[in-house]
Amino acid sequence: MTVRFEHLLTLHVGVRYSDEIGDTPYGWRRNDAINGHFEGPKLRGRLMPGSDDWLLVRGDGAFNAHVRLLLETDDGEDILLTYSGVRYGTQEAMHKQERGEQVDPAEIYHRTSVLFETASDKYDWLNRIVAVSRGQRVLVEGFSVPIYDVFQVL
Amino acid sequence: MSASTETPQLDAELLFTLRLEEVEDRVAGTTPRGERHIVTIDGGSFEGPDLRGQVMPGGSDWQSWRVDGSATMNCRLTLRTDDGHTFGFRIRGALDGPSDVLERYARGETVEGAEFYLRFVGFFEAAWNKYSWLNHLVAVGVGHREAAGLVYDVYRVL
Repeated sequence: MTVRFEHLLTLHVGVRYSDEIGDTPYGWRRNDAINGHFEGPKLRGRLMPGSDDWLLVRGDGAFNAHVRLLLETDDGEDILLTYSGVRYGTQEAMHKQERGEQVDPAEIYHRTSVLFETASDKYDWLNRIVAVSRGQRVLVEGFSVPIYDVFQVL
Repeated sequence: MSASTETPQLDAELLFTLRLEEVEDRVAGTTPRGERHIVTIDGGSFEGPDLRGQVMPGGSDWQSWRVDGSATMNCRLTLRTDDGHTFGFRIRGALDGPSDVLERYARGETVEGAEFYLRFVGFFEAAWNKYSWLNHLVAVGVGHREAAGLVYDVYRVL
């Protein structure tokens, strides 16, 4: 049996605050407070305060995201989204991306697992699905910003 | 099993007193986990014998409130010492007590530590600097609420 995916939403994230912890026993750590917005065929809205990413760069150079987001839909519902994932590529490609240069998405594996939690009746179906995302960097007005395409696992 | 017939003891040593500025308590409704509160923590301070500094903006506590009025906490904070080192602090906690006290707490009123149960366990994540000893301890916190905000006495479990 094959697995299929359906595009759920695209996340556009920015950084409100960033605190570098540095080299810890787990790896290099940075704590970011996040804002942004999201849109998809069934839901759209913005990211609220309380959203953050405790980002870890492991000893092998891979990035591990540990993210929790509070989403507010445009119809006034709250949705909690948590994801963790991996971003990994050749050292050259990773350094290029960190400098804000464009990198072919095929050169960097950037995927996350996504879980939802909500009190909303309308979006209650999100409580019972598993989702994954594919991240990439795009240039917006000259800045390299991350976007995540989130897919429901059907 | 204890090696002797003496009752096992556990001791703790004060690390610091943590004061949190909760700027927003957003009720995200009742989910399968309970009533969810996303409490934004945009500042505060910590002060103890060996470390002191400030709580950085951008922290948050993802709380789950149960129907009986008790709650659990899941909090991530970033702390910066007065000599410029930054470390992370993850907290998992529990809140319980008589319903009238919990109602007062929920309204943001002053609650003495002896009136209810507000405790957490916490883990630090520091870089390889003079504070890396924080990586090797388990912390516990005992909380109460003052007019100015939430206050925890945070101990190292010895």
